[in-house]
Amino acid sequence: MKVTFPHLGSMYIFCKAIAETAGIEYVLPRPTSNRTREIGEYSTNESVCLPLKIILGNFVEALEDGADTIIMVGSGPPCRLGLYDRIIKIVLKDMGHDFRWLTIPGIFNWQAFMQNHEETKELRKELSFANFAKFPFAILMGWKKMNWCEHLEKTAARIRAMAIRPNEVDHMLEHTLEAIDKAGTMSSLSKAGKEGLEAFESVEKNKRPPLKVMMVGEVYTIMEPSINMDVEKRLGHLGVIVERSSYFSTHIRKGSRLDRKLLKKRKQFLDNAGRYLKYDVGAECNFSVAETIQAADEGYDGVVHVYPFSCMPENNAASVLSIAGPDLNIPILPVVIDRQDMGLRIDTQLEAFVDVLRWRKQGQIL
Amino acid sequence: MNIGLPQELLHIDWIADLKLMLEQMNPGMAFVHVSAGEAPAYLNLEEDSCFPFKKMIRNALALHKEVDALLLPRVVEMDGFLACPNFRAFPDIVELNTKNISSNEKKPIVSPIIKVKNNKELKAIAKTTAKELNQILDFTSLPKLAAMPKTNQNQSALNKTDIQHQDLSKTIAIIGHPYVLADKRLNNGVPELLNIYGYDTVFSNNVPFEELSELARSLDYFAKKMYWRSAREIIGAFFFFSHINRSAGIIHLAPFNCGIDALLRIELMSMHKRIEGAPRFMTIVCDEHTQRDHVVTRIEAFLDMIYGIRIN
Repeated sequence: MKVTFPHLGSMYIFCKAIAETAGIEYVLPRPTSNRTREIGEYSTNESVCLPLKIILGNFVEALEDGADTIIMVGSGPPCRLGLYDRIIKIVLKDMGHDFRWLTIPGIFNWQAFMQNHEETKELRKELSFANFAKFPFAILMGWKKMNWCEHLEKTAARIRAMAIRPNEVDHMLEHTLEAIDKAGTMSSLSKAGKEGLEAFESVEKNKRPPLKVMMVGEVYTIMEPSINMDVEKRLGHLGVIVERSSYFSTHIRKGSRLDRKLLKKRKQFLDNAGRYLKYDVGAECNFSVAETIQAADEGYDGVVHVYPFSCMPENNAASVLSIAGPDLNIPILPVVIDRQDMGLRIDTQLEAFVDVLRWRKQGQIL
Repeated sequence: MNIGLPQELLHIDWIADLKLMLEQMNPGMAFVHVSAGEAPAYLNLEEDSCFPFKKMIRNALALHKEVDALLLPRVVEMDGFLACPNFRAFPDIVELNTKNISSNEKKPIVSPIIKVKNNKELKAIAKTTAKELNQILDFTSLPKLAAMPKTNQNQSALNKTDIQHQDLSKTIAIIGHPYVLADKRLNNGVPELLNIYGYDTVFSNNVPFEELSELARSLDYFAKKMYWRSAREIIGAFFFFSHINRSAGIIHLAPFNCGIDALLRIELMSMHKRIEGAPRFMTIVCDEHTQRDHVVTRIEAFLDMIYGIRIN
């Protein structure tokens, strides 16, 4: 058995840690390239959202590299994300690939449990007692690594905006994530993380006060830099601290329904969005609106709304935000992501947006 | 008293039934479905939204001038399956966009939540809606719903044709969302064109939903159940017209950028590949920019494939 999983921010470090610690062979999908996008684009249609296309491309390349078992993060209705696995399976089969499939449920209910039981029937036969015995520690290790990755990414987003040489921060983050990935024990993991944090703090900073924006939108698009064309990093290089609430761990905690505090917070968000949306539209739509309200209340300089072309819930959020922006007196930049040749377009958009934010901060425009 | 209810919503069976119930409860209630005027030129509406959604919002906003109140049901769940997320946001997007019309044209909006599995539930919704409309518009009389003749209930279900035993070998089946099938502007006149060419047409919503949903069930897999009602309707209809009662050809009408149809196009293509001797199948993506000649060319080619050319 050789498992593979999609790229979703630093999720691969989490999955890899579990596989390595539990002694399961894995194939890491190649970094997302133009070819990855093209595989997804040519095998689907124009109205399928970009995350699905890229995930599909990731899987095809991993299967070409020898993987035979795909592990996919699941989700639920009413948005399309809940059916990604159903559709990707169809496309892969039609392309002639042979594989086995395991969905990590996004919502833990009896149907998800039954599906998991069915999907792991064959897989369980290939796992030894040793593999199973190592699982609790493997999950703990993966969870710790993921928390470190997210903490480091958040710190990097803050430091990058103030750094004289933001590229330096990018390299440090890359180097530290690599060290986290390689760490085999809890102590080496902790050491790698702390060294990374120390390195960030040693970065030479400029005196220009950074701007602060909230990034809201569709989860996959927010979390995966190859999908959002590195919006977070691009903004960081322009002196903007990007904050977001969407991290892989957030969605695991949300799905497991064990973190009462998080669930309460999300309910509060839904209530706050009620000012514009009186019903839960689904996926992150109401949260994009609520987080924008929160950003305005907390004095953020702006909001970047990132979502894939044709995303049903986020299209509605975009309509609402086009009214909420002037209403709340906060600049909102919608970034709709689809094709591959968008780097320069996004740079232009972001530069203009940051100019507006800076002028506003300096009191030059209202 | 005039109540505005956008035409596009009326193509959904449960909404048509809701309207009937409301009319029976208060005969003084006259419904207006299509506006003679136009919506404001600028709207706060995401341009990437699908055409039916944009059309529905424009129609609702234009209706403001011509009615006393608007009835914009928030369609969430029907027959145990979900509606597209756009329907959940619909009344809110309309309401937010009323800032684009003058304040004296704004009319109250009533938006009951449609989560309905049977007539009993629909009756309850109709009752509350009527009460709400009554409060807003001060209707003089509101007869009890129980007085409604039983034979008039669930009219749309009664209108379903029994096509199980009809000969469809010379008929083209058209599958898609009900509002696309019924609205000439949304379907680019495809059904009409087929009729002009002398071919009969049959629609996915001519088959009862329960039957279609049951057919779609064969592709469900535990949590990976097709959860949108209209998607089950389309998948079921594809099964029906390719297995149960085979038609000469199947055309899937998909609005551009419809998130549900984007996935369905993949499923239907895959299903079509697996059916031996399947009827000819084509998807036409409809949007506001499609020109009639483009559609005509595609229809002609499709009909040639079925009837015109025999390649040995």
